[in-house]
Amino acid sequence: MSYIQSVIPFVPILPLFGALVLGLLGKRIYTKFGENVTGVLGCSMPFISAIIAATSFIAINRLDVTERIIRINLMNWVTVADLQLQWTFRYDPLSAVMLLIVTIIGTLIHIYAMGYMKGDKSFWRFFSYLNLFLAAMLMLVLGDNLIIMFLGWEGVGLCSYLLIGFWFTEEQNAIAGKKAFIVNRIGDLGFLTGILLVALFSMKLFGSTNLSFAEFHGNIDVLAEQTFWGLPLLEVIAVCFFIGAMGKSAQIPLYVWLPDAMAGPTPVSALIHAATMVTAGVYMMGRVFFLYTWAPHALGFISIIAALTCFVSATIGMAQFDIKKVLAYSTVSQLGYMFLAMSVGAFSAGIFHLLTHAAFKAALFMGSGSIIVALHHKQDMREMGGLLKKMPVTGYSMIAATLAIMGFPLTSGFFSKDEILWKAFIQGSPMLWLVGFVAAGITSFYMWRLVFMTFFGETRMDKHTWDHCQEQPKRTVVPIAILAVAALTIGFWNVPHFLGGHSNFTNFLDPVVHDLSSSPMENYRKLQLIKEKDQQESTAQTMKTESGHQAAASGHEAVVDHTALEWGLMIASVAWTFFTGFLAYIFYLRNPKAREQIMASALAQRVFMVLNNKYFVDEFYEAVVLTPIRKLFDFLGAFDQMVVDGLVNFAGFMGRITSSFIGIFDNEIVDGLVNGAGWGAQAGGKGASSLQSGKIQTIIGSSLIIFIIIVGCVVLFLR
Amino acid sequence: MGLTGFLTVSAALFTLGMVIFISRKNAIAILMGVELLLNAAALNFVAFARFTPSQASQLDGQIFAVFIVLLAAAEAVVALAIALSVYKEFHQVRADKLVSLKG
Repeated sequence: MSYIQSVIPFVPILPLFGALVLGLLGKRIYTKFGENVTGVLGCSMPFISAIIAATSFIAINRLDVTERIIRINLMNWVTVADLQLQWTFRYDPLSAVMLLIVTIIGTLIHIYAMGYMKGDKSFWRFFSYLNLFLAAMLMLVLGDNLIIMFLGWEGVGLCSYLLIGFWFTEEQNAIAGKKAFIVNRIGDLGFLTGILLVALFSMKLFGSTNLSFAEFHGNIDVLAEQTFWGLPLLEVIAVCFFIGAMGKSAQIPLYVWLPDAMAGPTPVSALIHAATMVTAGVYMMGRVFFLYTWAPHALGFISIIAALTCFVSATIGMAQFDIKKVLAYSTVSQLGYMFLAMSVGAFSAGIFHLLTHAAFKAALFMGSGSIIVALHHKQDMREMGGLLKKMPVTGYSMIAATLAIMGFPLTSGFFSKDEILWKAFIQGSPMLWLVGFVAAGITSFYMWRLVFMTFFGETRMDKHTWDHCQEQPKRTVVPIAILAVAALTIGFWNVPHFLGGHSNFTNFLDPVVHDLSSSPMENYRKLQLIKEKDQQESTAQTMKTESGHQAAASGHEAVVDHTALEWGLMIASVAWTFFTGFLAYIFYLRNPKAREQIMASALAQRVFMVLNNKYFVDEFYEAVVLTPIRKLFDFLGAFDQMVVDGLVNFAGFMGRITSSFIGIFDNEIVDGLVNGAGWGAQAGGKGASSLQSGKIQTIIGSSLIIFIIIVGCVVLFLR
Repeated sequence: MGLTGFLTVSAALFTLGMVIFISRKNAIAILMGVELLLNAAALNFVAFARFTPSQASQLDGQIFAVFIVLLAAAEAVVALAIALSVYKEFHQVRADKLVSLKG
């Protein structure tokens, strides 16, 4: 047992334990020892997990590259005929990175939440849910097979529901929780369908299956020959998995729950709806990247969805006034970037953007939460302004995170976003790049708009709020500052070659996630060619490994020098984001009149209204999906009342009539018999009791007479 | 004198005892009737023993008669004791008035 093998199982188990303790005994602990003890208890489990994750990360870096996939088998789970599921955790570079993100950001947010939730009467419940969420997310990340991953997947969905609706006494919050849960269910159905298809075909083809990723990977080229309802099986599975990812990672058309999820407490928004849970879809795609290399059409579909999501939600973000809503739409947009990277085969770029985004978006959300608490739960940016003087730590941290998200040179967002845009250009199409490019500018615009409206200029608050607002306590601002520093620096992990780096992050992921070296379609053709050649060459060499394919696929690539193009695109996007940032500066700080002039025109008004109302998507769903469903329900209700109830009532009526007949029969005949028997017994008893007169001579006399009769009978008739 | 004479006397005694048993109201008189019944039975035993052809068990009837006399004595003791107790309880021994056993 190496160090990693012995400690990794504790990473998800500890928060689960914490959730149980706080969930069962939390109220008692809270009332007896107070808020601080409860909070420290809640933070300790994620903290230990974070330490384990960090030390394991160091340990895995010391291992040889080929030994970096570590599987820890805990026990058998389901062993039924040809289904052999095991409780196995898988620790490899991909899950190592995810563990770092989840546990470290999770711990920081736990600490932050101690400040944010101060005085809430359900303090203990909040920490119990947060711990449970971490346990589920870590299980999702560490699961070695699809089923354990799905277990975590459902777990985070549940926790998301619990935490969005945390303040459930207000109906709006409860509705937002339900919406998130239901929309996620739709996605989960897709994911589950995909898993079942994998299981079905694996059992059919190979006799037994344990659904583990390694097995899936090994069998992928056999599965690639299968068709399902006339479509290539892997394409179907890929789309099913992506539908799951759509729900969790808020892609069009299933993104509607995420902005509403801002009803939850801000730590939840930061932890779940920015840094961890919403990235589950991206992580899942990275985990089964080998599937997607065989599904170029599915990737094409994903690229369209991702580009649309990226652009549409960025535009909505421009026209929101609620500070958390802006960040929510920004999250959706950034998730679009990640899927864009995935869809052109730049899997490591997607994961890297996941990492950087987790850092800067968590910082932004926590900063906004800090502001919201300082302003007594005001979220409207029109009522803020000039806060930098009052809240310097929060302010500078948020500015740092904004620099990162806009892609300011050498910040984390710069490296990750440029990598994605570059790959979209070279492996996707210039159109995809253009959409991403425009969206990057919009991102810069709405983020600087947020910063200028909140921190600069004259304050628009009333005097009372202004006087009372102040910097939050250390436990709130220190985590924000830490994340802001991370957001600025973490990008240096993956400096691309043309900037003199070594793409360390991509290399680190290489044992488990290989990027495609050409566009998905070309890569697919190459894979097929190799396969045909393999089949021609020998049937004996059936033990082909997928990594061999990958190496072959990437190895024969003619090296073209793109450095100039890369530099050009990079400079273009930096210039473009600077320009839109500057526009925001002019419109929201320097010269608001210019903005008002533009906004005065009818066209601008109309565009603004459409954006502010989120393209009327919710209304569209209401009209197209919900209203027909409600009508169907009404019809079903009427049917129920008329036909089903009629039948039931008729049956009841018939029953009443028959039972009245039976009642008469019962009363007259059955009771008559019973009463008759009773009467007879009574009469007989009365007659017999007169024998028992107590007069001894009567008894003797009568017995004598009976004796004489018997003897007489015997003498007369029996002889 | 043959067996018939003995049996006739015995039957007469039995009938007499039975009539006394049923018709007299005084408990002591009823006991006397019972004595008559017992003696009628004992007379029957002795008579049958005397006129039985087998020589092997000639004394069986006499032995029964002795037991019956013994039994009668015992019965008289117990019955009279009961009569005395009944008198103590109810201050009378009239059988038709003692109806506390009425069902």
